[in-house]
Amino acid sequence: MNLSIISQARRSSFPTLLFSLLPVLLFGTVLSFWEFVVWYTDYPKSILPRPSAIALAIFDNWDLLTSNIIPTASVALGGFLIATLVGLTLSLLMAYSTWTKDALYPNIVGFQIVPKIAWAPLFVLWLGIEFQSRLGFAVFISIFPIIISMTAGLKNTDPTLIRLCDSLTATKLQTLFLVRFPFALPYLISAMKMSITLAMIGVIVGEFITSQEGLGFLILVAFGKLETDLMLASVLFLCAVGLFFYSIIAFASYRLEIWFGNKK
Amino acid sequence: MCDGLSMLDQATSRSDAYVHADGVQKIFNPGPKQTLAVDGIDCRVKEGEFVSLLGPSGCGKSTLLMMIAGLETPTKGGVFVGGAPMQKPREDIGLMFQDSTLLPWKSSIENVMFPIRILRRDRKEYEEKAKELLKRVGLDQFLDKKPAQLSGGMRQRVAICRALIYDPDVLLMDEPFSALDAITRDEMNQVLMNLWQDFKKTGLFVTHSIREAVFLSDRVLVMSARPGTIIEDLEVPFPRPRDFSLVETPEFNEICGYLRGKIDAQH
Repeated sequence: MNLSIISQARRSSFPTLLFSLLPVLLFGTVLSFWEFVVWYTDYPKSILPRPSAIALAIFDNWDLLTSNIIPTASVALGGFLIATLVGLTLSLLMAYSTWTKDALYPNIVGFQIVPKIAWAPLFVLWLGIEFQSRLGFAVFISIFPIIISMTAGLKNTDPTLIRLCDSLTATKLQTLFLVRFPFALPYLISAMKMSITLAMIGVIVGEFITSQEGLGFLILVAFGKLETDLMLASVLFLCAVGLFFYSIIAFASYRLEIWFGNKK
Repeated sequence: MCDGLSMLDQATSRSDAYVHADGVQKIFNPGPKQTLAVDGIDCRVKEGEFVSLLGPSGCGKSTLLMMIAGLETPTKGGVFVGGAPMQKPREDIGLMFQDSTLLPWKSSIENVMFPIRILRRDRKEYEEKAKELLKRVGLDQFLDKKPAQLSGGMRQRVAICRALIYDPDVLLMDEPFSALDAITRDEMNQVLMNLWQDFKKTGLFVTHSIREAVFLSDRVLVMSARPGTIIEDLEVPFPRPRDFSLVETPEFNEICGYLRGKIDAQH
């Protein structure tokens, strides 16, 4: 009784606040240190601008930066959604038919090992210099975690539960959709977290190669003019976009936990 | 004359058997490294009878049960339920496992309704029955709770209701209470005993608890260590309904002692 009161007191109030502030404090300290060192040594701005200079660059180029969010974010999101849908369909198909799995899965795993970035120029060659090549490449790069993780998840259902379904004369399709698929959902969510990050990378790489728009393109333009502060500002915007997508999936993951009854 | 009578006797006992494992043998991984799980099993359960399969771990009790459920095919011999050979799972047979195997995202009532969904029966028709069953096992306050919010004993109660909802004639139970603590286990034995009083199914119950087997059963079959064969077939004479005061009686303990001796004699 007493113990539970103590531990509750310890969990709430001051220390918790401190712990959640800890990363912010660290970040602030590093920024201040960075600001100070660059100012003190009078380091060239074109190589390492001060944090305050980056903030200023964001302010000065606000319209430029914001207008370039959409081309990058929409293609990344589109690629991610297509990858999720196609990856999901493929893994369900492979879970349903052993024949398909035997034929397909070793090839997918083999392909997964190939460094995928190396394919980027080929996508430009095949799909042109417009957004289609970047979309295609984003799908290509982000689909593998979905397939591999989902396949593992669908295989991971408690065998006794499969037996129960069998004993109830469930069809293969019923077992797949009513039991195996829901059990694999946590795998899907964690794969989606990986996949959205990869889709972003895919789009940026695509923009580096050909694009006339997007935050990746902006980085290259700023690079050409040695506007390092604008480069870093663009990177920051990319981080914000990535974080935004990630937090949506994290929220889905939280809802899933509730659905599974793990959280109240 | 005498021969004729015994043949007749055999014939009637055969037709008596609702569940019949006839000379069943099961070999896993046939080949040089094969495992002979059970061998020459002959086991009969009459309609409405509750029989326990008692034996040490790994003696093939569960394998036998899975063959009766139609989930495993015997290497030799055959299994008949209700006179028809078991070739694949059938909806007149219900199954319970050591683990409750509930779906974590479904509430108690939805878990009980799960077989109805699989069997594509009319949902409305069974919803009341599901509530009734859950009430019967003392879970009327927990209809909408998910498995994570229930105790181990409660989860097994839900699993019993799930096995009963679609009204199978035979209930096969594979050590359903062996993962529970001793007190909850006794409680569950009583719950099952009471349910049996109302539902009158044919039951086959796998356990390694002698006390549980004797308390619940009309008959106890003792299996030997692998390869499993049936080495004892004992009627349990106590009238039903039984309650837990029975386990304190000398007669009860005498039977338990006798069965213990049969099991120990193999080592």
